[in-house]
Amino acid sequence: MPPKLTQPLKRTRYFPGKRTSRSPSPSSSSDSESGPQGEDEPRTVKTEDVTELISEIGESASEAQNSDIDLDNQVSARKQPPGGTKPVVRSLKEVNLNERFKEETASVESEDEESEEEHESVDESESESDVESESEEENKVLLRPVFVPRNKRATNEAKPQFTYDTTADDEGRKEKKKEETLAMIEQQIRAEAAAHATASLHEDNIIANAEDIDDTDDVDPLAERAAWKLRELKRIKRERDELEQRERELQEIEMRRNMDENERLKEDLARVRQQQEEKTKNRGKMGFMQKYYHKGAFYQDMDILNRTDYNAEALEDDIRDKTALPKIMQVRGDQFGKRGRSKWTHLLNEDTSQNTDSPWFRKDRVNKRTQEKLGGLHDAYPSKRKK
Amino acid sequence: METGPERGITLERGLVKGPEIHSQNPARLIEKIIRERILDSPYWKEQCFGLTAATLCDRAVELTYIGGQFGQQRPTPFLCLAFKVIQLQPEKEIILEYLAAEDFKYLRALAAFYIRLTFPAADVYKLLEPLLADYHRLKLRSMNGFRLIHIDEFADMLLTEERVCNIALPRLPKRIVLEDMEELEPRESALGSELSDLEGDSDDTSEVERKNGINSKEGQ
Repeated sequence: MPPKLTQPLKRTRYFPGKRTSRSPSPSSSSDSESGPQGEDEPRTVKTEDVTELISEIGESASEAQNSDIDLDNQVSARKQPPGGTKPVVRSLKEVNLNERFKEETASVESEDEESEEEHESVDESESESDVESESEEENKVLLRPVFVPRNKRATNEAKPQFTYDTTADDEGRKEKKKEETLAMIEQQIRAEAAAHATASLHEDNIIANAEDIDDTDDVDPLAERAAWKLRELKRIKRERDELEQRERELQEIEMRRNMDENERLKEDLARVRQQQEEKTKNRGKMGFMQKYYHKGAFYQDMDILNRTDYNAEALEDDIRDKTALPKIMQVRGDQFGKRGRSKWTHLLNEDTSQNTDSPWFRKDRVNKRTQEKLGGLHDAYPSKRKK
Repeated sequence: METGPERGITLERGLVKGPEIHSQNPARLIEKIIRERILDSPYWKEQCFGLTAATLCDRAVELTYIGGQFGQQRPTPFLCLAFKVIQLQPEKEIILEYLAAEDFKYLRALAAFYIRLTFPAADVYKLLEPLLADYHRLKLRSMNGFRLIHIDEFADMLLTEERVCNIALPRLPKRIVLEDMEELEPRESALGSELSDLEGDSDDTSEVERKNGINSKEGQ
């Protein structure tokens, strides 16, 4: 809410000897004078909109000085001009500048305004300052800022009106808020629970937040002991497997030492063959026009040692099934759309001789003579023996 | 001549005067990069100045997680304290005391870490294998965040893996090798009797053989 001006704006200049106000004003705090505002209506000066307004303001100011009335009342007071000559200017918009100019130029001639160039210096307190300020007001056409309340403004109609929900009362609003917050909390809890669930599925059970992990012991002794037992058994099994493997190796070394040269060779070859078979069996199939892409051995984990299938897709965002694309787009790399790129896939594809129904190579009555004459496709001297 | 815990600080950045471990300056057990990070970390500068074995104990008790580096390659307090222990090089008995502190698992973890870094191989096995029976929970902080592990898992990591808490551990011969050299006995699991019950059901002959071998060893 804009502050209500109980006392209207006043110039606080003091002009000694000037008529301050029509009605005798008691000494109010800040304004010991009301200088030019106290101008009476009947003046020798030509009335213009502005000066009239100011005079009216002064009038109403003097009226309002003694009473605490609303600005509304002041405005309404201004609404009815005592002289009733011209309508009160509400805002600068309403001021007709052309009109004013004419009036000003007219008034310039009629008045003497040598001394008008002066302006408001606070120290100045001449008797002519009355005329000065007057004409100066004419010159500069100062509009006294008038406070227009919100519901009476012309400009305010364009703005969207905010309507607050005044239907629900205090209690109802509180309850609504409570519900909303509860719903939000519930949603949050659910999201957290879901995150926990997915985290527990993850192998490592890594949780980002420190408070989620509870390292207090003896929460569930039986479960803990059971988990420990499981881990211990796994460790034991791992050790046993290592032992076994070691023994097997030792045994094999022993056997090889006792073998002949030939037997060793035979065994080696068998082993190699077996390896090759496994390799071809495990090898994946390359897709249609799949790019063989090796990421490089640097900056990789130890997981690359376990890779057996190098034909798998290395790039995840590659289009897997190029057969689904239109034929024009079935090109490698970034060749699509480039000039001079005719789709040349491979030799067999571009060969028109063998598989196609090319008329040149058909064996029918029409082609018979042509085929005979073509060189290189049959024997030079065919046997004309009929049999 | 400088004495006291900070004897190495002013001369060489973090390096230590004293007996060499694994035939090198003990501070070199931790790599240069990580060492620099530890020395630059606020925890080190605030908390680890002028620590003795006793006050280090207090700090270790305040630990809430173990780990190597986290976040933007920041060293954990655990790592800083480990480096401090390496600098201090307390006597063996003190370390054993730390290891035996049942109530303070993070102190135990710290002692275990130090043992793995500095003690000879046979002692490492002998001292860390009892930890495989302890299933208290620990928080492990890594680049990915926090994780829950147990003391026995941590001990297993120390015995089998090559890098724990972002530190490359010194080379530890395999247990079998040491057994062949007669420095160690084959491992007796804490499951002991329960294991033999389990083994009784299996049909594998090699398993039975081994079981017999273990049982005979256990009986000794």
